Amino acid sequence: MEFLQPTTWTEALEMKAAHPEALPIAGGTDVMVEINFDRQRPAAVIDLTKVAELEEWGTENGMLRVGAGVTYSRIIEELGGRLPGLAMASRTVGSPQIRNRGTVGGNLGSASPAGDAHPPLLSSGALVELASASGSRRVPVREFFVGPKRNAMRNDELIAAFLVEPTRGPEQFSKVGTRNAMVIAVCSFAIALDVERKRVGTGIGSAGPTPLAAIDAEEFMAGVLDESGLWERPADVDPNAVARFGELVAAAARPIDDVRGTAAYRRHALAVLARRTFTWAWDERRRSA
Amino acid sequence: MSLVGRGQRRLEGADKVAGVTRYTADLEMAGLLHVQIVLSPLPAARIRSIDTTGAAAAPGVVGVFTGADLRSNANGPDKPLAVDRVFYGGQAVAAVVAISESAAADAAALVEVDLEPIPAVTDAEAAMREGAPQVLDTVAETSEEDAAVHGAATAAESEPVERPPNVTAVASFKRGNVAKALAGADVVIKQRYRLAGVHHSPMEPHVAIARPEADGGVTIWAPTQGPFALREDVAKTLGVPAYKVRVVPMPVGGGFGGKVILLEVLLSMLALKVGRPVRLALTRQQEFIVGHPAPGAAFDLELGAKKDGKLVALRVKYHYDNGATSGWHAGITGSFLGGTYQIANFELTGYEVATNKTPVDAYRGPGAPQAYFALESAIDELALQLDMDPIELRLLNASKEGDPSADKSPWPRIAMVECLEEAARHPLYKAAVGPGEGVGVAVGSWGGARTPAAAGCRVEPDGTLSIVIGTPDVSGATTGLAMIAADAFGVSADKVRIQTGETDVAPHGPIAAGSQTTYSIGGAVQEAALEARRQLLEIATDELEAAPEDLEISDGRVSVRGVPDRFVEITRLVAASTEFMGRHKPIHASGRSAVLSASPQFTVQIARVRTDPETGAFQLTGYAAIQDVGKAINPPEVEGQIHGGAAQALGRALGEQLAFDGDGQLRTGSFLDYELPTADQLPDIDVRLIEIPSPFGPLGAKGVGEPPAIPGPAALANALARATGTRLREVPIDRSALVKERTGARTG
Ligand SMILES: Cc1cc2nc3c(=O)[nH]c(=O)nc-3n(C[C@H](O)[C@H](O)[C@H](O)COP(=O)(O)OP(=O)(O)OC[C@H]3O[C@@H](n4cnc5c(N)ncnc54)[C@H](O)[C@@H]3O)c2cc1C
Repeated sequence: MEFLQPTTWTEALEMKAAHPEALPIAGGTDVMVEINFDRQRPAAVIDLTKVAELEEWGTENGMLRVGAGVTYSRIIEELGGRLPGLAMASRTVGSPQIRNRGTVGGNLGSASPAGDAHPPLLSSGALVELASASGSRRVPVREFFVGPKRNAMRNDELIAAFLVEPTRGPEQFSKVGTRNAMVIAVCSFAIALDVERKRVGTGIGSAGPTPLAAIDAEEFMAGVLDESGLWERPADVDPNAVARFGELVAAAARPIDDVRGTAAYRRHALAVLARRTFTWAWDERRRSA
Repeated sequence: MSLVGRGQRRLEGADKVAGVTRYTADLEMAGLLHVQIVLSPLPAARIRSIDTTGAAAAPGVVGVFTGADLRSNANGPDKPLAVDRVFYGGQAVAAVVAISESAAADAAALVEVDLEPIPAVTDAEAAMREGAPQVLDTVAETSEEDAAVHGAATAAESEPVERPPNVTAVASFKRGNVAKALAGADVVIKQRYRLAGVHHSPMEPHVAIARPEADGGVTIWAPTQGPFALREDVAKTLGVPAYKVRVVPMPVGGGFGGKVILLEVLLSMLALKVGRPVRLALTRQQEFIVGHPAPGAAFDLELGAKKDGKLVALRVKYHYDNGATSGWHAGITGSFLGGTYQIANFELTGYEVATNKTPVDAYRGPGAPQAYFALESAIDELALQLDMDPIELRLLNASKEGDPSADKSPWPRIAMVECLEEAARHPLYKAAVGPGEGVGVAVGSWGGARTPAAAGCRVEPDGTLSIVIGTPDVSGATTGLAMIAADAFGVSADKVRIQTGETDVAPHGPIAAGSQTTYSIGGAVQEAALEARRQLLEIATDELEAAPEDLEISDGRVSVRGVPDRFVEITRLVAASTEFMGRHKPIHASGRSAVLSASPQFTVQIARVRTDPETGAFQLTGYAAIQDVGKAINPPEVEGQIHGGAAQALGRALGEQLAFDGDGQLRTGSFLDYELPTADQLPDIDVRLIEIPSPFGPLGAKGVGEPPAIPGPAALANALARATGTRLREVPIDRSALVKERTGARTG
């Protein structure tokens, strides 16, 4: 196995161009499992941990640009206030050891339907910045997941960063699992209320071949809030509308039966999570208004 | 003041915490070669051919072996490498010996195994159906010896009962007339209870080293729970006298019944073949499919009672899913089903069923967590139906001293009643429950094993004691043994070293299993220390010119009682008995014990839960374990055993399961999918010790290790039933079954 270790971003992109088959490794919390299980025997590995640019974050035209190599622990500590939904999800990832090593870039790279960073990135409409030696492009995260564990990245590209607007309203994340740590969720759900643009964002995890957004549910709830003028004057939301929101989220999922739970249970639990997270987010909106 | 009964830190604990304990995998050895095994991907197959040429030519390979190269009389699934036929997925079919672990692994991938699949059955119920594929070639009888090693007599009456396919043995217990009693009962609970198979999941996967010796024997380094049992087994297979197999017992990184013998026969044979020491350390994934796990079980149970709660009849038809072996759990299970409560009529029929899965073996309390999940769930269902307090119902029927046990022999002094009474007083049981909360209780018990044992004792030049026994420490038991020795001799516990000797020189000791270590060896250690003291005082008598009965030992000295300035240092006496031209005989003491009778142990555990009816999620909010231990030699260690045991048993309900797909492949063969309980799932465990001394055990002690690992699943299921109104009769628990409000979602 060839071991490539670039120290700058330019060098990393050049190496990737020269070795398109090389497997990038960031925190290694997915890659090392794959290798230990002998599911992958990569001919070459590109270690990205020496590339300082990937560990930076900053603002760009009002958007937050977060390097692919920023770990969950740093998201929680440094960006918890600006990206509350992602921070909530990050707190549920693995264990402290995994959060210290694992990165959002790696989560996007693996593109697992169960990746915990995905629902909050979906609900807040993030962009994924992909780069190659010949340039870079920004792909909406809603178009990034193209199939089970497959994403829109070409094999000459690397993930540079994700971009997201800092919170414009309450955000929530919740998951159902057999336990609260070190487990793949049975299903998870993120919600983001964009009070300025009057939009509701959603993200569903572990309940389909890819992470998903519940678009009908988003439009339905944004409409309900709009019609009754609740965005401006937050008050009680009709419980039937909240229930309907839950139904629409459940309907958007495409779950399967497996050891962790049945498809039916996943849909049911998603509806519950959707109702709950909306209610928590809305309560917060009412308190702050 | 005596040490026993007061807290003593584990003497070997600091080294383990600091990471300086040397485990088997840490050993280095000149000329060491590494073994990798090739496992069958199919659960049942004929071996058409195995092509080893590619592997043999791979870099670093010293030899590649198949079943044809190794002579063994073992049954098909137990052969060191499969011959002609494969009986379970994960059975070893070839072994590569190479100069490094990675060379062995790479070459193992080059072994070409041509298997012809034959029909397999991986589910016990399917295996018992007419026309099911036959799993084992020969249906061996249940080995009573296996059962006895772990849990005392099974006492099943072997009546001829019709045997469905793949049933290797039937345990049967009968009393009175069940049909009549059930017909006359006011209430009958008729239900089916099931438990999944689980794995010990020791922190240290199986590992061993075997080195060939010039006399045709081998030396084996292994973290075994039973060095003498291992020695016997390997010697038998190699056809050499037992003494030619030398077992060096290494620290055990978690055994729980699963680490007596597994890789050692294969490694011994390979070592003799290649003439060099060989090592195999299983990966975690191999551990899951190669390490012999605990069987799943199912119970069809009918429990009849009168309106006042008096139990009148129990009929249970149950089976164990043993994988590719004959199994021996059912008899033990029957003894619990039939003996825990006084029931005039019972009919218990337990089937041992072979399936195409990894053969099962003992796991902490074999047969007991299964028995008590069924029995204690049913008792709780009965209490709900009769609207009786569940502890009251149990007290009404509890077995007491003199009552007949399942095999009619009278129960000795047991403490089930005391445990139940303590549970009734416990704040977790008494505190009011809010909405979505529930409290469950369950009983467990263990018969306890016993084996003759001996111990040797020497006094070192610095005045400390070196005690040698033949049993490894899997539980912290040696700290308790050191306390017993220290009290007997007159020193502090840190002045006593207990070592498990190599089988060459160690006195005989039982396997560390069945809650028997302290119970069996304590007396031998005490006798050895007393004898060493006697020998020391004999020397002192001469030096101090005083009668032995006037002498006392304290602070490292022997002094004349009442005349503190007439003393001699222990170190002096040791020197006088070991030095060149010394005048005294060296101290060389031994002690022996053979405990004549078992001391059955009872426990009651209380679980408190809070549930989320919308998602079916739940949280254990409190847990208590009440246990009769006879006499707690080292109370914090006893509590530690109880904490660990309770956590292990709760794991069976919270998520642990060996789940197989239709093709006989294990779906939960990693810690990602095999869900051990995590800290956030377990509340503080409040331990209440009851000490009703055993008339037989050392200082009144009884076994401690098994009972805490028994009642958990039933205690939790009972708490959930009371919290939600939903009875879960299967573990691990399916949370979706606890969902109450199905509003707001189109569910399937
Ligand atoms: C014990 C354990 C618990 C876990 N628990 C969770 C959990 O609760 N929730 C969860 O979501 N995940 C969990 N994971 C999975 C894993 O930690 C996450 O997916 C994590 O985000 C991966 O990040 P990493 O930096 O370690 O990625 P790596 O393992 O280094 O890489 C993952 C993938 O991304 C690719 N990649 C990495 N960086 C880049 C880049 N810059 N450009 C292009 N491709 C890249 C790699 O080639 C690889 O395909 C767990 C893993 C373990 C071992």
